[in-house]
Amino acid sequence: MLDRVYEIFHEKMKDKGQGMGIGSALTSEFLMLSFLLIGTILVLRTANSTILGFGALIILAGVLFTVPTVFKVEKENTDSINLSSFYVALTLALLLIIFLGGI
Amino acid sequence: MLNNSTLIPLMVVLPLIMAILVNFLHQKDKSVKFISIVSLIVFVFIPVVTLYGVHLFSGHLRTGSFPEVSKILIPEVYMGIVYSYGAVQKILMVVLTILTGFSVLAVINKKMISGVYMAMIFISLAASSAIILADDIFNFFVFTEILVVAQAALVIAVQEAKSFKAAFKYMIFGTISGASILLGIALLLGSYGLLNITDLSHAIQAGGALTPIGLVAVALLTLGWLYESGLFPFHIIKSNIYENARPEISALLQVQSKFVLVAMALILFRVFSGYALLKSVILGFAIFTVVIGSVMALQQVELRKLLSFVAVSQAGLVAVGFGLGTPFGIAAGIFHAINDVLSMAILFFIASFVYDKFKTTKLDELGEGLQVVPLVGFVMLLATLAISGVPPFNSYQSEWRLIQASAQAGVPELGILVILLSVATFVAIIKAFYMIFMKPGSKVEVNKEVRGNLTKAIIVILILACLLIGLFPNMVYDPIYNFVVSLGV
Amino acid sequence: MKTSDYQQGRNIIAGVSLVIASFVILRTLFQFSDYLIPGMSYLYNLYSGNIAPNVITVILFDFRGYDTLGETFILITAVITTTIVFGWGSLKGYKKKETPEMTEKSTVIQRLMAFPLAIFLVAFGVTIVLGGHISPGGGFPGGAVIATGYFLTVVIYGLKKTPLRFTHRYLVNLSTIGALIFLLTGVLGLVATTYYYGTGYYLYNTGVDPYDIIHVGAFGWDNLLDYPDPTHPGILPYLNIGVGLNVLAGLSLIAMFLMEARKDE
Repeated sequence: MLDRVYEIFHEKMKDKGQGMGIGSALTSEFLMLSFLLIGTILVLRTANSTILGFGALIILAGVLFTVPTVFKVEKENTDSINLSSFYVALTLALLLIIFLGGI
Repeated sequence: MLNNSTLIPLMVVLPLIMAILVNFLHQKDKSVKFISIVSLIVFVFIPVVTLYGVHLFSGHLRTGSFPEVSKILIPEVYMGIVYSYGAVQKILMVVLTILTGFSVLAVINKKMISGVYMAMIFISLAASSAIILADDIFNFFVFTEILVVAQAALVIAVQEAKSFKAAFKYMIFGTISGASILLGIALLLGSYGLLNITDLSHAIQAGGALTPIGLVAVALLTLGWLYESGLFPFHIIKSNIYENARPEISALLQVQSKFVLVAMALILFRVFSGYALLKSVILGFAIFTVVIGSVMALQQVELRKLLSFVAVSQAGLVAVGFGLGTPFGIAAGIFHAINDVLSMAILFFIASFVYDKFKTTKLDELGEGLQVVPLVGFVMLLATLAISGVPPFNSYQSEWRLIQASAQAGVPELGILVILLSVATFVAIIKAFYMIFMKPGSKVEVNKEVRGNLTKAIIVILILACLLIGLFPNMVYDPIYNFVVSLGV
Repeated sequence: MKTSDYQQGRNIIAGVSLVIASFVILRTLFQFSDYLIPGMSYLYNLYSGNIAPNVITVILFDFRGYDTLGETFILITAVITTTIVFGWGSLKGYKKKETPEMTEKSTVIQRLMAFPLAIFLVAFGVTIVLGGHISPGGGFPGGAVIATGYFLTVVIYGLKKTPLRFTHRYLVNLSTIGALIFLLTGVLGLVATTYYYGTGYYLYNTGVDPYDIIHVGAFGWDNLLDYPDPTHPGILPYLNIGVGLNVLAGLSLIAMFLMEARKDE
């Protein structure tokens, strides 16, 4: 897949800017992937919980099968208030579960 | 115990008095201008001359004589509201007042003199100073509320549909975070009976492990902290605010929210010192914000939006330092906050200049700017280098310390991430630089009337400040490190 | 807005998260009584008796007077923000709209009753403000009651014919005076304690002098700003008056802007 990654991005970004736009999209794609990789290593190395480790691995596998991730990230970060409220509700529950359940 | 320092409240009260006065003198432009400039000099002057210490409001002293019935866990408590002023507060206050001064001068220079608008700038200055100084958790909450409303007002004053929307969303989520902070404070007050942060942290340590009530309070306060500092679930809202305010005001807003981040994180760490899970959670949210912020910044084709996402991701980088939890990491985080607000302010002032000169900030339409304004282009290049951590500029010193701190804390992977992120920031901003200043084929008209001498002077002063801190980092860093060690978090 | 299955799933997740969060928080509040201790509030109750009879006012304006200053400023900021929403002081400038005529006539009973009721409300509000240190009430509720009186007349008679005719300038002046009373009383405490004691305390109650540090009374004249009243509550009534003026002006200002904007839609 890596050998024709530029073509994939070119295809995906037809309606948007070319050239520099694709360059920056590729940069962010590699940034996302390296972040996920480093994050998984970090979780596997430091977290004592098996569930968390498995969870991180599953998420990593899931994301790796759905590259390119950049467009999904962009779609999840629009100005819409629905998305923000969804994530806020999720965060509130997550914080309470983490602090009270103590993963 | 520290001495009572008389001048501390003036840092909050004088901006409030001046805000009331300029609001009263609205439409009398000359008086508003005069009062604003005079009071700015005073505001910068006060933090410099104030002595370190605490201020006991209403003169209520520390007391040790109270009956058993009150069930307070520690032998001595502060009766009233207390502000404390140390090295970190001094540095933050000086940077805050100077940058506020620059923003106000830019506003005055653009003939946008409106007493009401100026009043809002002063009130937001007072509120953020109070948040930095407060040693009382309820007083802190009161001023965060003022800050949220004042910032929303600064965005609303632009009077465009987008700015109304952004401010409205900011206020809606502000109610959520305000409610959660207040509930957290109420739970702490109920179970420990105290509001003073120093006393509260001692009482919580004396009380042993946190109760379930205390844990819920931690969760609620953390949610409030995420909002105030614009981290992960709230990063869109924060970047919307930066994007839709006037750029020279965005330069001010990002300073305020980064300093509030620092102040509130210090409060959380002092109150719940020794609670390790909090640090991991903060680290998680911080890393996530940093990555999402830079990924989004790379995608933008509008200068102001790009800069607002960079500002958000840099706030995440400050929070990474706090998430590491070691004194070294926290000091590096605070140091990065100070460095970052300076270089970010340069970029926002440049955005304001571009907006005035070319009447747009859309990167596709801009181009060939270097022939029109070579100085601004050069400073933007330097600021790009500064913000992405290239020596000899200041962010290099703080990012280097962040990487070192992460290695010391046993998570060297984070060091790699910080390097990757500075690369991403560099790519994002250098792209904007190329498209504004070097790309052939400009589609915009140059407004010949806008000379922007003041903006040019401001950005040159700020880049020199960046260079100065980069060359002599210990001047700023050592007091911060000593302060953080003395807090013992 | 169309709701896809994808979004439906999200709504369910968000709903479940909110249910979890509210369950945890409500359960915490339910258990809270087992952990509750008196703490600081016991101390405040213990010591406030020697300042003024109304304990709540003493806590509000003396022990935590500076917080009350902040709360007053929340109101001021909110009022100014509302005026900015309607264009006053915004960067695009304010276009004065013509005051709209009343479209719907109010009934005879309303017109007959509103003015006496408004007078009663204003008088009642003034009582609440001035009696804040001895009886329940104070600046916030008193100012709100007075503003209610104004709002009543404005709604019934319209902005042009209302008997309580405040101009915009007048309300801004009132609010400024109220805020300055509060702020400068605090500065007076700071200056007086610095002068007589060496170190200053903002909002120090110079009238009561609870810690006996300024001793102004010993020189033959009365303490600075002692409210002439048998209970000697010091600066508290002045602060109440300041807050009262501020709240009254702020709420009336919002009412005025809302009435002016009525015809826009």
